[in-house]
Amino acid sequence: MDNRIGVYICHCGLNISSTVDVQKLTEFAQGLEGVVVARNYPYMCSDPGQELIKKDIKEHGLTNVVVASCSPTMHGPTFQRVCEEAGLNPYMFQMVNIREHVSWVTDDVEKATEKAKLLVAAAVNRVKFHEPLGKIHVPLTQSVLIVGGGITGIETALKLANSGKKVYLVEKEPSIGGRMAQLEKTFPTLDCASCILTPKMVDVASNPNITILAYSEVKEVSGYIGNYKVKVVKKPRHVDESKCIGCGLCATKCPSKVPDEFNMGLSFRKAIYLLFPQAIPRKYTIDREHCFYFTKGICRVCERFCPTRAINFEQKPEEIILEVGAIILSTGYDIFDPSVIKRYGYGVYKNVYTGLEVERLTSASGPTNGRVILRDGRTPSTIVVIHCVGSRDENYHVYCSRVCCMYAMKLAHLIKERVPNSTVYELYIDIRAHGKGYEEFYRRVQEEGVIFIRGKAAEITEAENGKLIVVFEDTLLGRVQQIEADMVVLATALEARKDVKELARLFNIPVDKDGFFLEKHPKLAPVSTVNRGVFVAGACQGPKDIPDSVAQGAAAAAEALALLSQGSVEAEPVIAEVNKNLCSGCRICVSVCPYNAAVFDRETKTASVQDVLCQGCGTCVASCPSGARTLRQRGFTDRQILAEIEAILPKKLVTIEKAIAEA
Amino acid sequence: MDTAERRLNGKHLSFYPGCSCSKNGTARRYGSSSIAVLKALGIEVSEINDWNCCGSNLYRIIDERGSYFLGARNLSKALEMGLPEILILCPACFLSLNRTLTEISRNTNLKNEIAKKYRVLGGPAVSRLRIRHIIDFLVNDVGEEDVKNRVVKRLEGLKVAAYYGCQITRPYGYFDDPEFPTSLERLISWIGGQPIESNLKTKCCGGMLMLTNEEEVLNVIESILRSYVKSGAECIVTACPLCHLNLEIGRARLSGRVGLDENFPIIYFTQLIGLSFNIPVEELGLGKDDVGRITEKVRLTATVKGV
Amino acid sequence: MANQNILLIEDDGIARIAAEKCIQCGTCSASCPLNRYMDYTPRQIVALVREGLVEEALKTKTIWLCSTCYLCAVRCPAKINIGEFMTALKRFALKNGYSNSLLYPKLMKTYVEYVNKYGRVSEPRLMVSFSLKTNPLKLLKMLPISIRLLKNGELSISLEKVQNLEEIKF
Ligand SMILES: Cc1cc2nc3c(=O)[nH]c(=O)nc-3n(C[C@H](O)[C@H](O)[C@H](O)COP(=O)(O)OP(=O)(O)OC[C@H]3O[C@@H](n4cnc5c(N)ncnc54)[C@H](O)[C@@H]3O)c2cc1C
Ligand code: SF4
Ligand code: SF4
Ligand code: SF4
Ligand code: SF4
Repeated sequence: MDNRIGVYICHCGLNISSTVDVQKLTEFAQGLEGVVVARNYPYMCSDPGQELIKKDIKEHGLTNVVVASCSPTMHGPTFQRVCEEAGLNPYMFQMVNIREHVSWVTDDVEKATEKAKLLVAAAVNRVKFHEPLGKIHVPLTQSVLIVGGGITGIETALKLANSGKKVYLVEKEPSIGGRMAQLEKTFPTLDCASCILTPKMVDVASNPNITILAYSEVKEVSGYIGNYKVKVVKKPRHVDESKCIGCGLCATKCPSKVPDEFNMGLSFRKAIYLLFPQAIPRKYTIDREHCFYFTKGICRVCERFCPTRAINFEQKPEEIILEVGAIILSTGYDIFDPSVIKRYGYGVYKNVYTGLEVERLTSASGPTNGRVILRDGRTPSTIVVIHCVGSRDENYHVYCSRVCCMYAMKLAHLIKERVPNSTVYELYIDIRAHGKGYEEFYRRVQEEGVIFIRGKAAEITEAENGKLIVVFEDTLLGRVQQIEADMVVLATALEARKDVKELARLFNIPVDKDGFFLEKHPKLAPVSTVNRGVFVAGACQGPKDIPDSVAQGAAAAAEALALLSQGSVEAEPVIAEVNKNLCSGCRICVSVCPYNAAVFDRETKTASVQDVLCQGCGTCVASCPSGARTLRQRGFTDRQILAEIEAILPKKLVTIEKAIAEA
Repeated sequence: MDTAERRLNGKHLSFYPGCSCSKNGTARRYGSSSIAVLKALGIEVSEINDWNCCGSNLYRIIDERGSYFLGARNLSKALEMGLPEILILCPACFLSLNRTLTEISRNTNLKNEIAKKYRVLGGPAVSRLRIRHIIDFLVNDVGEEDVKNRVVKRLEGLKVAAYYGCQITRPYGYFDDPEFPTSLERLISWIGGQPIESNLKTKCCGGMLMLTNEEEVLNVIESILRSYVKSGAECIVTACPLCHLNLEIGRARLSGRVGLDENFPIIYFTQLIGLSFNIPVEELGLGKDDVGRITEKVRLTATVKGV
Repeated sequence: MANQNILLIEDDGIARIAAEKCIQCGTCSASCPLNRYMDYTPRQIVALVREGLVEEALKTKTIWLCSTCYLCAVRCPAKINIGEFMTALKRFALKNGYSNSLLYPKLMKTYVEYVNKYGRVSEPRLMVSFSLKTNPLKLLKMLPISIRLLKNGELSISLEKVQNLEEIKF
């Protein structure tokens, strides 16, 4: 059959047309063999643009369509749908990226146009060898895995469970709650964090559709969208969850004292402990690293006092296999360690604190019952809060952590409230109060007498009298100043979790340059990832406050619901296939496939590729020793790729040949 | 010991003294004591043939291009001698030659121009050039074991404060923290001394500004000396000719004001190491006064310890 | 604004320090050991240059007080090397005839003359000839220290010189 190809060139507003001569390009395309119609249009992806293509397909009886525009990541599916709607198989289409690959990388109109011509010619050549492919349908398991039980995971779990889906909430700590559980009050409304969080935690625990797997971690993920198999390992608490009634008798008797991580080391807990008083599940846990029985072989005091005989020193890690249709990651963030900025003396001067430490100091259930006092018991009278510690700094994190301005001001407010006669300074570079009611909160804190000075602290030193000398430039006065302070609070950055790379590998999604999980599109697909069944929400996707985290949690729940409610899902047919007649049965493909999609059939002694498992990565195709006709990649056949290369190379080859001839 | 010796034995570096540490320079004692210490450690250094000014910051302000040519000539001489690893004492020279090397590798135009005059610098040999500060070399190449093994007289208990000055670790000080280095403290402890910390140890001494803005610079030095006096140090060691000179001027002019003894020992760190290696004081360029003061303190601490 | 780029790329083609991304945090100013004596803080110098008020920047005392200790450079959150920026401004000021009456340029000129003539500098000679040009009285003040230095063998008035002077003409 003769090819009847339509070529559509997009201006992308001025994004493409200011660098690529779209008129010339259209004329060029018009002249290519097989091209029946070539057009350009300001926005090909717009409704009229799409209509244009559909009309042509019908009127000109097009057999193939080439669109030269932006990256196919975003609009590839759009144009495929256009073809389909006009009755053309969507795989008879090819997209050329003349924006990211051409117009955005140069200002040279001539060179840009030349490159665009080559790319269009290549696509036209390639598309001639395309073949119609049919979509594959995969059934969906109606349950969801949520990893990370902070406020984001909690909200997401409740939304999904309330709409009737089965939810598994995996949390690596002994209790759910996340960072929010450590906060005293929350900006900008100053609601008490526990008062709004605890009821939610209780709801999670009592919801029949939610299974909390606390003190557990995901170890393996296999399967594919709609049909994941997840191996979770439950670490041994050495306390039988079914027996422990949370009376805490064990902890009162336990002789081993350990710095309390929930209180940022500002107080002690026992080796058998509850993470915090409102912990869910309310089950005690033995910290093996600090338990005398596990470290020294003697003690077992808790065992003697436990009224329900819940202590079990023999408990082993437990493996649980879950089957889920979608996965949501809400693993949150870490706090930047400010001791690496040596000139601030964190960890050296005892009166330099992080924001989270002060959060615990102000907490009614914290180590000081809410009194703001220094480690030596004195009440500070001059306090300096330093913004942007580890953020907006190319030596550490370039990004703005978004919540620290607000929490720094919240802490100033709380300190003023607890120590009314104190003087509190905020050393800021810019105040970022971007949310609803946030600017108003800034005004309020100013009115409360907190002194705002624009300038970043250059260094902190300790004077002989124990006071901290904070040196900075008041940039609005243009004068270098110093403050003698009793206490310094560092508004530290929020950063990606230390183990984020392993998690990303486990769930097969990318991370951004700062280590946060990378969303599929920053604006239009903020909680999706390139792995279609895996979603991200909350502070694991980037620094975020609670309102934004909760909104993302709800969005992820909606995405998961939208996916599961389809009943079945279409999988890309751009995958590998084996020609059984030519397969020699060497099994190399079986050993290289990262998705376990290539399998060996003992009866026929040949390999085959399981449609729903294959991700189309092409690894097996490249590895097959019997060549391309045996194991081929649909949509990326040798013929198609060579056609593309041929269209680009000839001219160059000619000059190379000429050069050789001349030499 | 054996492995370290095998590694370093026959190690041969070129040596760039620079105007200050050369035979007639103000820091000639830094130069002579360094060479003596290296020799005692079995390391050979050869002065770069007919070396010239490093093209320091002062020169660079007037004639930037020229400063790179000045630096490049020294580099080319080292390459011609077949000794691409260049040992430097003066931080300002260390900075200049590092900068020249950085500019050459970053700026092809400049490199081509320079290669026209100094041909070796156009070739691949350039990639073998290493600019090493002596502190870096002693701490990271020679190392703890070798230094300790050469010590004859441990300076037991001597409270030594190091003053690094600014340019050893900034901006090219890739071998240690730019603000809070610890290399000299490690060296001090290896020879038995007790390192004393000062948080001004890498604060600038004012450098050349002593000649032009004397009053301001004396103020800066005053705060540095005060911090050392407070720290209880019995001896200050320096690693920069200019710092050294400025501290000496400060000692002479400000001793009364800051409560510093006029004869308080301020010496180069290589002189102190040399003393512990038992190298003749003449070679180290140490005055009788300084030696007396130092050994007195050592003995004193030792007896107190013995009681 | 027009002059701004002159500071970024000089006519000899050697790339200069880009200060556009300064966030005006003042870390440089508060870190500078000589800030107390400056008429403008280092941060303000960046602001002046960025706003195109280059001439004003060139007339400041600040640029001549920078001792290029690079403390600002290693602390700057925008990784701007202010020490180098100051060096570029000094050079630019000299080229365009600013600040020649100050001592610092005289010192540099004496220095460069020495290097160009002998290939090396003899520091004591440099100091003497600089002081003679500027403030001979100061020599007297320095006398007690000089004697001490001489005694210690730190002062030598013999001349250091490169043998092959032709090689340092470029
Ligand atoms: C000092 C400070 C004060 C703040 N104050 C406020 C405020 O007043 N108002 C406000 O809106 N925001 C505030 N924030 C921000 C707030 O903490 C976050 O917006 C919120 O905690 C984000 O919730 P999250 O669930 O996404 O992450 P997190 O709270 O970090 O929760 C993540 C959860 O996932 C778990 N997890 C991590 N990795 C794994 C894994 N591999 N497997 C299983 N589980 C895992 C963690 O244990 C944790 O429970 C403050 C932040 C700080 C640092
Ligand atoms: S056995 Fe361990 S957890 Fe139990 S009381 Fe003793 S130290 Fe505490
Ligand atoms: S939110 Fe404020 S304190 Fe935090 S990084 Fe951004 S500007 Fe700095
Ligand atoms: S430290 Fe850097 S970013 Fe901050 S004001 Fe100075 S030059 Fe600008
Ligand atoms: S380099 Fe200059 S401006 Fe920067 S801190 Fe040092 S003296 Fe100040």
